[in-house]
Amino acid sequence: MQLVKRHIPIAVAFVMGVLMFLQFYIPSRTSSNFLEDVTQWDRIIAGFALLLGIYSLLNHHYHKLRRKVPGWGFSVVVYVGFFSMLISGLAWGIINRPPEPVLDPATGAVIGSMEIYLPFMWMYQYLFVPMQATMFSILAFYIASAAYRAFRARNKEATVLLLTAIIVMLGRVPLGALLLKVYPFGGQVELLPWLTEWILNNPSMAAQRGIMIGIGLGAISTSLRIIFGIERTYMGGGD
Amino acid sequence: MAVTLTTAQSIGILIAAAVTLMMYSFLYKDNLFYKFGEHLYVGISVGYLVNIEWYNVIKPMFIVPFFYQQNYILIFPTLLGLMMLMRFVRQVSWLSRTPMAFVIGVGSGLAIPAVLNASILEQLYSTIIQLWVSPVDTASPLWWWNTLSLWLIFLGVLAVLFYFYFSIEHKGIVGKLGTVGIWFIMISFGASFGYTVMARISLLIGRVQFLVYQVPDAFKFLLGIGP
Amino acid sequence: MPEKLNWMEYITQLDRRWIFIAVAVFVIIPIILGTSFPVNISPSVQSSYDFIDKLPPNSTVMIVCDYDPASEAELYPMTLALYRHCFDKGHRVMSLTLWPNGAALIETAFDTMKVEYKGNPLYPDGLKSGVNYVNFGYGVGGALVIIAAGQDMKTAFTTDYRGNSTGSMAIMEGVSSLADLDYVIDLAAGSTIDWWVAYGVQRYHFTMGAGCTAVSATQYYPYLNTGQINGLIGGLKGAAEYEQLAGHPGRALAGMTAQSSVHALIIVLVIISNIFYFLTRKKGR
Repeated sequence: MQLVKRHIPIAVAFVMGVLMFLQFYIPSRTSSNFLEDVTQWDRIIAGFALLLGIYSLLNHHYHKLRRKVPGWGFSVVVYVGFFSMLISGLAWGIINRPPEPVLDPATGAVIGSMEIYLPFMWMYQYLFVPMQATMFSILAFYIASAAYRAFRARNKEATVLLLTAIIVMLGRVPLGALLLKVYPFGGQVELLPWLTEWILNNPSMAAQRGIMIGIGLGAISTSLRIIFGIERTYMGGGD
Repeated sequence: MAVTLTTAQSIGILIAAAVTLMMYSFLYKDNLFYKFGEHLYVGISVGYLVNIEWYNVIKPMFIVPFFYQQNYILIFPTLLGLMMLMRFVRQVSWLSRTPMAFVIGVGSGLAIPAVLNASILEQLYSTIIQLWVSPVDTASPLWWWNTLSLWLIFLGVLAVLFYFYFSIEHKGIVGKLGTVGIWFIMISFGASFGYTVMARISLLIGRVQFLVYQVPDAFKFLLGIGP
Repeated sequence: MPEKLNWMEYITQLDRRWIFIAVAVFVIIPIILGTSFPVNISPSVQSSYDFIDKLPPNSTVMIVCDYDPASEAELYPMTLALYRHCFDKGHRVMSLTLWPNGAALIETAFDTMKVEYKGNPLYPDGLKSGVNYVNFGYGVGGALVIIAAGQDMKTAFTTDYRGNSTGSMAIMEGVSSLADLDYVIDLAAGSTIDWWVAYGVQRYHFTMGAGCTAVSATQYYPYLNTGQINGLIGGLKGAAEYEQLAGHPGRALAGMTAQSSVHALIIVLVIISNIFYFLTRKKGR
């Protein structure tokens, strides 16, 4: 049983990892066809992985409903939202009909057009989009509050961070161009936007490049660990 | 050409405004309206995902090729996908390991050459390939400034790499380079912070633009005093 | 009984809801007033614009919308500005997304374009899906979609978002893989630009640009420097610059005044809090 539960998955990871690595360096028709087939298979399996998250969420709320934990009424709201969206999409489709022309009653000429909404697209545009957009826009308030309460120039490094942030915040908006009408090297761009561009393309870019190289080395090392069976957390717990 | 609002759109805009304000009520304190909106959003997003999964994934990638194009070999990845779903059935959760290993193995194998080329070799090449802008070759009088910038980038990349190298003690030249690396990182994180503030405020601006521009039009339409 | 704060300590520990109100006021008032200022154009945005502008008519441009409604405020105006520029130049536009929540946003954007370009002399029959543009919808598999599209686009996207077969579409003429595209631009809320560069540009050698939320903009400058991407449109400011260049002012340009005012507010707040922090610290000693 250990063969099926542990050794076969580790072997599959090894074989597929080595084959996909070698495929990159073998420029042949067979290699290319192999890549296409494996990619297609992997995409189908990945499609099922999406269902895992969906099941997990619905299961969590089902248990809340069953046990009638405090706040179980909100789990009813989750299911109402879920079934409304599910049924509207499966029953009526997910594509709006083309916009219909609006005619002038007197002349019959086309003076405009009007959108015809399916329930799915209507719920997407007027419930899903505003709610998700609003949830993330709340962060604007919190970042302002966090900047006010926690952003202190306690030491030299923090001061450099703070000054750079201020330069970038001013340089990336029209206000920065209006504030200081100084043109570095006699050019056509004002100081703050010019300095912002210089910071982003030089010292900041250098640091990000160093970080990118470090992350790349880490990614390669993790991939090798997975292929050689040293890293097995993807298998989950149990024997 | 003008777009005429319909009743469905106008009601939709007002409902969107209502849910927007419901979510913003959290800024005062956590309350029933926010919780209702949050849970409704969760349910709707899951329903949306299932629809997209059906129309953009299962139907075109399995149903049509298998049943209408006789591509029967696709039964194998479909079986592997179904085995992946066994992760939640405790008695047979081990069945999900093989498809997971397939996906992870393929991903790891593909990642190595991709990351090596894009994130390491290309970046190192660009850092060292040119460290001098000749005053003769270029028409720009700023050749000295551009040369300094190239050396600054070279120094910055080297210093940051040394800062993150923990296998040797940060003493002497290594320690000094590491300290220089910290300065470059602080500048970069400062720029990131400035950009992050900008990003978050932009999200708020988007919502306020919706409330200020579209909601009055919707009211006017429903009250019969506008387009 | 809690110790009464002096006025300096009160300012450093101000209830955050006052800050929320200040932010709200500084955003709402400029938007209501409706003032807007021209923006300076950064070289990274100019580069992307120039490339698309110089492509011959009927070129094929792929605009990948890798975002969801959470980043819609920054990236949707960017999407519309790019679509308008491409359609003004007579280019064919392909779109897809690697984010499931973004598929319907692309459809909404194309529906908007169909209305805007109705009656345009370049498109006497209007914009047609499958001829002038195509929405491939959501591609499952992340980086695998890029590899699949690099190998064979018609196999990677057998149908479009509407369920129509892509095999016989007029827009697919002469396009069998990513390498046949004249330009690819990835508008990303996450790290998909890394995938497009590593799995797309490095393997299939097409010209690529990028747009991103301001949060992640700094991390993509290394790709700009190496030439792996030839342009970078960062955040709402980048979208505003593109709108200005394309001659289609929209939401992004309109939002720049509010952006300026809130940035000024936050800078003033940070300076004030630091001044009072140092004063209270000095007093404490």
